[in-house]
Amino acid sequence: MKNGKRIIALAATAALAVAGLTACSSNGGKQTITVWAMQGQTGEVNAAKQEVAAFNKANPDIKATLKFVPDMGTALKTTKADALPDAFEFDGETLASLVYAGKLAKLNGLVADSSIKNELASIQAEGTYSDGNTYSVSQYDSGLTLWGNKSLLAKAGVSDVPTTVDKAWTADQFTGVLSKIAAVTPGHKAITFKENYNIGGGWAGYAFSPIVNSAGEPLVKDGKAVGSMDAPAVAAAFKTFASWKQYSDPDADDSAFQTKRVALAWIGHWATPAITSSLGADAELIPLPNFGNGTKSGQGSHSWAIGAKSAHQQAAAKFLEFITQDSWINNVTNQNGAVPATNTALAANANYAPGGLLALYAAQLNKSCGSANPTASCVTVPRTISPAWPFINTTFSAAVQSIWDGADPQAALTKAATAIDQDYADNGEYKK
Amino acid sequence: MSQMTQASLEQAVIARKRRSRKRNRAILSYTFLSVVTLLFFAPIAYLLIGSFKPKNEVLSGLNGFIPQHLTLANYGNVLQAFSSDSTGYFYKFYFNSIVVSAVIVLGGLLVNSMIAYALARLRWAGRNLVLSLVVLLMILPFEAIAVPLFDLLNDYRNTLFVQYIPFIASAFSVFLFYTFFIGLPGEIQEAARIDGAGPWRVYFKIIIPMSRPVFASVTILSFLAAWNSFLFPLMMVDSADVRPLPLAMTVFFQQQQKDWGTIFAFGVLLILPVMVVFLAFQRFFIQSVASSAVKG
Amino acid sequence: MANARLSTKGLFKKRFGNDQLAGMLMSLPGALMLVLFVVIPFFTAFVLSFYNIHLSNGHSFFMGFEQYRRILFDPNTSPIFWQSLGNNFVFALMVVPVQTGLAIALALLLNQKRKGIAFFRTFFFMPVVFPMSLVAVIWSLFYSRDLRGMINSLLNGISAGNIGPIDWLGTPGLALVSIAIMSVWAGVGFQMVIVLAGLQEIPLELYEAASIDKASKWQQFRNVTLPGLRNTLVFVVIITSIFSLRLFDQVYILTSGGPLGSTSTVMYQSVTSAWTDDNVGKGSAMTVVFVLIIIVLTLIQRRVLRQEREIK
Repeated sequence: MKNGKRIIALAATAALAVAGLTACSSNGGKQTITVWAMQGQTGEVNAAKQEVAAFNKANPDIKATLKFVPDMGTALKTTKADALPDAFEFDGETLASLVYAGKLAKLNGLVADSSIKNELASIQAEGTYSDGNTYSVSQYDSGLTLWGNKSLLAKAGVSDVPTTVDKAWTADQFTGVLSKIAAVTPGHKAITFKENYNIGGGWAGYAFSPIVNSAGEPLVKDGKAVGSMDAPAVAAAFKTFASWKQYSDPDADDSAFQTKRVALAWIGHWATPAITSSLGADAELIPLPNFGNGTKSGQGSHSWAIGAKSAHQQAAAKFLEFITQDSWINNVTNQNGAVPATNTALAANANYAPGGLLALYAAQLNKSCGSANPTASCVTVPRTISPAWPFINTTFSAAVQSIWDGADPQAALTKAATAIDQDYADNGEYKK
Repeated sequence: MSQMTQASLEQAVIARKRRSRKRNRAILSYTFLSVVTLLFFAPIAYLLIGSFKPKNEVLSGLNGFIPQHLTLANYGNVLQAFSSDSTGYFYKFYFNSIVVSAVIVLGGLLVNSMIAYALARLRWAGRNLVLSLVVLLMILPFEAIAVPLFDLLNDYRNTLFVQYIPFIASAFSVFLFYTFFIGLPGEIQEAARIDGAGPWRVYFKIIIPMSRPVFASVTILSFLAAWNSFLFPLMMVDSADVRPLPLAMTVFFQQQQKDWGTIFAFGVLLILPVMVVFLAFQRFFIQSVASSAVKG
Repeated sequence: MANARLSTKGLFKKRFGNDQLAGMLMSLPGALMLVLFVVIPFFTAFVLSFYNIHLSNGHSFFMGFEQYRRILFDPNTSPIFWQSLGNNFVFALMVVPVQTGLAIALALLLNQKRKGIAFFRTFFFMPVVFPMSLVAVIWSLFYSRDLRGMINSLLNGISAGNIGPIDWLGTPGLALVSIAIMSVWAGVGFQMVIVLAGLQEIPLELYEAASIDKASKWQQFRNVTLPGLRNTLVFVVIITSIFSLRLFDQVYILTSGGPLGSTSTVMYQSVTSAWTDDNVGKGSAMTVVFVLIIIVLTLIQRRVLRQEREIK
């Protein structure tokens, strides 16, 4: 392999002479930092452009160059630590694997404490690795609930619709609600679980791991999935979940709820703009059903970090402080419907105040379980903060998909849990 | 006489019957051809029509074929998503794809036809070894070695070079050339060699001019593969400066809420150059694929 | 006599003596690239298959033959591999005969001397120039399990609502068939063109002789067309089999190997292990097993063909 590399190196030198690798450099006392952002929806792209332009204006000694990356997950996986940009946006759930790969810089002492401490408790938990250090900050957090169509629910005769976490429907009540709705909708479907997001492709890791937590277990307890992910209570919960498939609109056109084909949607905050614009005051947030240990939900969204090998970490830290100011947070969350990630921005937003349209999101995130095992009183659970998460995610999601397709829940979950434990063992429990 | 008229009458009836049978068969034939054509063209029509539809009208059963509210917005979305320094420019992706594909096709024609000629027409020690290597590698799919290849070439990421260099030599192309060269009549070549022409001269002056069909079909097949190349660029390219067209499409697939209209519009723009070339040269195209493959 | 021998030798040398050098030189660039970019990566994969190693981080753990044991024998992790291998063969058994038969049928249709044949030929071949990624996306919408899916909508319309919506990609027995149908659509044009060329190579005299013998159309097809297409069909069958064994794109986009593993293939397992699960060692071990299977199949096939040739 070494030899092969040398031969290729020889053969390629000529061709590469033209290509010249780019790196961050200083010109005329001005520091240049490279910033990678995800190329998401148009609104997010515009917001990122605006904040970089504003940052450059506010900091004459720094020039930030913004690059959008179509598939950030792959780019971060395949780029070596020394080739990473100074600051970059990433999927918060991959934090631990990036730290484990030596790609992220500790933010403690780099980014002002006041910035870090103003972030929601859920975000601080999400950005903290098992070594106790903070590695990321965020502009927004996520919200995962049901959206309900008030008039369709009323038409189906569903009364006492819960809108706070302590009143969530039990799973059995929920089954009844679904069958009532299906009786009145034209296609006899009641809900969209957003199957079009691909359950087995990772959607389950976010959207349906709260079912595990609501059945009283974390996905992984003390580095072991057997005994928690596949506990009998969890298997029973997924048996109920699979029985709801008959009420589920496949939603391939991504608009089952907006076009009133169904009365409920099991969905994240990003749908808020589309839903409020099509249903208006007819839409309301409803907590996910309770499988015994209280309703649970997901948390965590895009995060920002500094490259471990960046030569301009101070400048990059300034950039992170800049974009986590409330004004810039509001600029992007107004576009994408996400939950502002600082206590001050959230408190100032009437939508999230008690009685507001999105109050449930804030109420849930205020009761973050953090990285501890979920109790009956907390609500949002971060995705397992471990370098094993990408594997846990694909394995668990594949198991949920197979249950959805008719596999025995207990067998599917035990198989997944066994594979996850094997992965921990194979990697020396990720202690290296 | 009456017998004769009887006979000619019968003949006339038979002839008419035959003619009408012939006509019936023609009608049957055309009907069947049209139905099959419809089946083959339906998904393509769906793509084309969908690319001009608002996002919520693309997926609507058979109505997907009915143009209702046509719009150019989807095409606007594609172009608008790549219209600044930080996102890269759409035309640049086209350019990158063209350069990479051109190098793969042209380099591949030379390299693969030479090795095929040496294997098919020259006698040398080591020939059998190389031949069995080619046959074995032909079956090995690229996906199977993508990760080690990534590891080997990661120092050259974000270049055009890394996108074409591994794909110039292709066992499949060698195989296509080889089967064609084996089928060429040997006499002309022998005669030329007796006249003192060396293998190089025979290759350039006799073999290449005789082999236009196979060169055409390898051009087409390797161009299609290169133009649509995705997995390796995904691993190797994050910079917009050298991003190829199919990779840019992931922007629209990465989003939770997939906008099929825009994805279809991108698909049309992706396929457009290929379709133009195909429609312009389709006769030649189909003949060449056929005549080179059939010798196997 | 000695002189004559010398001159033959000289003639031979003159004719073929520089073949050795030319052969090697002409093969050099291609062979070198194939070694660099295919052979070496393959041997690298072989080495990696003995490790637990990740693309995303630098950590690695030596595992010996453990990856192979898990793929082939472990009761928790091996069933999916065997299921995938089985799916590969089932897929080949569906696609090879159907696609070849359809290719012959379409080629016969197009081999008539009628007006506008070129027009139809263009349409039959058109799917071939489409990238599989795009084709699979379009078909995923066709196969949507509600009535918004094109196929369900069509069936529902034809049957006046009696054929209910079918879950084409979500029903274990059906999903692989659905993928096969799409693959045939995408690929048959290529095979058709090859068969068409094969048909046109069959001498017309053979058909004339057959019709003088009062052979029926079917007898002509059995006794003239099929034997005349023999070489062409061998080529078509080999190519289609290879593509069946390599099946990946369609599965990745349409079903992710589901439902319940019913559309998973060996390449799908290999790529998702190495890439999605970031378990390069496992993916590499599958590649090695896959190549061994291919080698065995190739040897068997060569043996069968040789026997057949000897009988002839």
